[in-house]
This record gives sequence, C-alpha cells and structure tokens, in this order.
Amino acid sequence: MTTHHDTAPDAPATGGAHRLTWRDRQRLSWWFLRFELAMQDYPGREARRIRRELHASVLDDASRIGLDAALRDLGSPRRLAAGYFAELEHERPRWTDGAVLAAVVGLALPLYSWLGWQMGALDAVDAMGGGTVELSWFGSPVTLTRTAEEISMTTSVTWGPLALSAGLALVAFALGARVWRLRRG
Amino acid sequence: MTSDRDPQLLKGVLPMLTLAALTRDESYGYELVAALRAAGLAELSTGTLYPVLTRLERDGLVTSRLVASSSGPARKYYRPSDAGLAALRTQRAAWAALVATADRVLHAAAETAAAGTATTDTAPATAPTHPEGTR
Repeated sequence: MTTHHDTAPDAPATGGAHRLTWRDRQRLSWWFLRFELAMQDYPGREARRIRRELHASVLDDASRIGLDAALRDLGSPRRLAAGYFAELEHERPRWTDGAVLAAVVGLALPLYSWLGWQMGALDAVDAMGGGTVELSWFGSPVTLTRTAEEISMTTSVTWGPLALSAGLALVAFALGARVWRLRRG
Repeated sequence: MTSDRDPQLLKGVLPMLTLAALTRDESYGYELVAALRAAGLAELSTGTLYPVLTRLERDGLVTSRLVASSSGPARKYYRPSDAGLAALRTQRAAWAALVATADRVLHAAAETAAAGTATTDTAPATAPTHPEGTR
C-alpha cells in the first residue's frame, strides 16, 4: 500500500528552519523510549511501523515548528500510546502490566511479609527473655534464635510458601494482564 | 467556543472528517491537522490525528505513499481509497440522519422550554382572577 517516490509533488517546506541540537536529540530519544515502553503490548510488527513513521513525522514537524512545539502537539508518550491502543479493533491483554503486578504480589509482597514476620517473631522471643524457638511459616520450619550473643534465623524452603507465591503471582498476572481480553482478541 | 466542545464528539466524527478532508487532495499528517484546525477544529492535535490515520490505513480506507524530502525524512501522504470514499458516503448519510434527529429533539425541547417560560411569565397576570377564598 505504501510506495516510495523519489520526488515530492510539492517541494517539501522543511527548509531546516529548526535544526535539532544535541540536547534536542537526547530529549527525542528519551521521549521515544517512553513511547516504546507504553506501546509494549501493541502488536509487534505494527508497533515498529508506527514508531518508525512517528519518528519521521516528529522530525519533519520539528524542522518546521521546532521540537518543543512538535512534542507538545503530540502530547505525552503514554497518552499517545493510549490513543493507538484505543484505535485497535479489540482491547488486548496488557502482558507487561501483568508481569509487573505478578512480581510485586507474587514475589515482593511475600518476601516483605516473610521478613516482617521474622522480625516480629524475633522481637517476641526477645520480649520473652530470649532463647531459641521453632516455628512454622506456611508449612516451612523456621528456627529463630535471639540471645545476647546471637540473632539468627534458620529455615528451609518447602512447597507451601512457594505454592502460595506462585498462586498469588498467577492471579495477579491474570488480573493485571486482563487475560479475559483474549476471548475477544 | 471550541473549548466548550466535548472531546468525545470530536473523537466520534474525526475519522469521517479526516476522510472528507483528504478527498480534496492527498495530504500528510501535520498538513491535515493544520487544514482541520483552519476549518474550525482548533483543539485538534497531531497526537489525536496520528492514531486515527493509522486506523484508517489499517482498515484500508486510506492509501499512502512516501515522498522523499531533500532536507529531512520521507513524508507520508494519504489519500482515500475506493473503500474509504464509499465509507465516507455512508458516514455522511448516517451523520445527516443523526443531525436531523438531533435537530428534531432539540427543537422540541426548545419549544417546550419556551412554552414553560411563557406560562411562567403570564402566571402573575392570571393569578388575580382567582378569588382569594378559593385557595
């Protein structure tokens, strides 16, 4: 559908009135990096084509009205990407959002809870006069020692916490990615 | 005036207006934005139009060609395809029907409002005709 022609029917008005400085190019690269991040879940081949054409358009616009005005007219990269997503036939799953949410809910949150639980348990042991106690965290045996000479924690990883983390990550991924959109895609 | 326009209204008609603007002559993104702004869509930006052009091209309603520039990247010119012109005819008819319907509804609402205002205006004049004791 797209063909190349050697000459313009009307001579381009891009006389280079606004030349891009080194700083402008850095700004443009940063803007496009943010745009690509926002377009991550857009169908790959078309996303690359859009990026390529948009880059050419921005350079063309910037040569006429300056980079500031060209970027201001485009709006934020995230909002522009949302505009492209809105023009898709169907809403698509957001795999990147799902992965981020899965990492937070399935990894960071259990790790934080585990560390918080340990600190609390060690404080409780200390409040009871110190010593060594054997506890269990979602089925994993944990040995905590809190004495004047030693503060330690020994545990072995069992399937319980791993299954819990995996389950949380799976649910978070499904919700974050809006997997139900696959049914219409 | 244009700042009062609902952005959703513009979003709904922009593909049709884009096709209509392209029937005059082939054009590229920024030139098209400038033409539509000059026609009254002062709030239109390239960030709004570029995704629409992508959609129109993907749907086969416009065709494009790259025109080399001596001083910058190649510029992409768009023109309506046959399917695009047919779609524009359909959309124009649908738009005319919608405008006619909206006009009827708005006209009726305006008449009702005007009648209500007239009744309110004449109410004090008729009030003295009712005897005090009938209340």
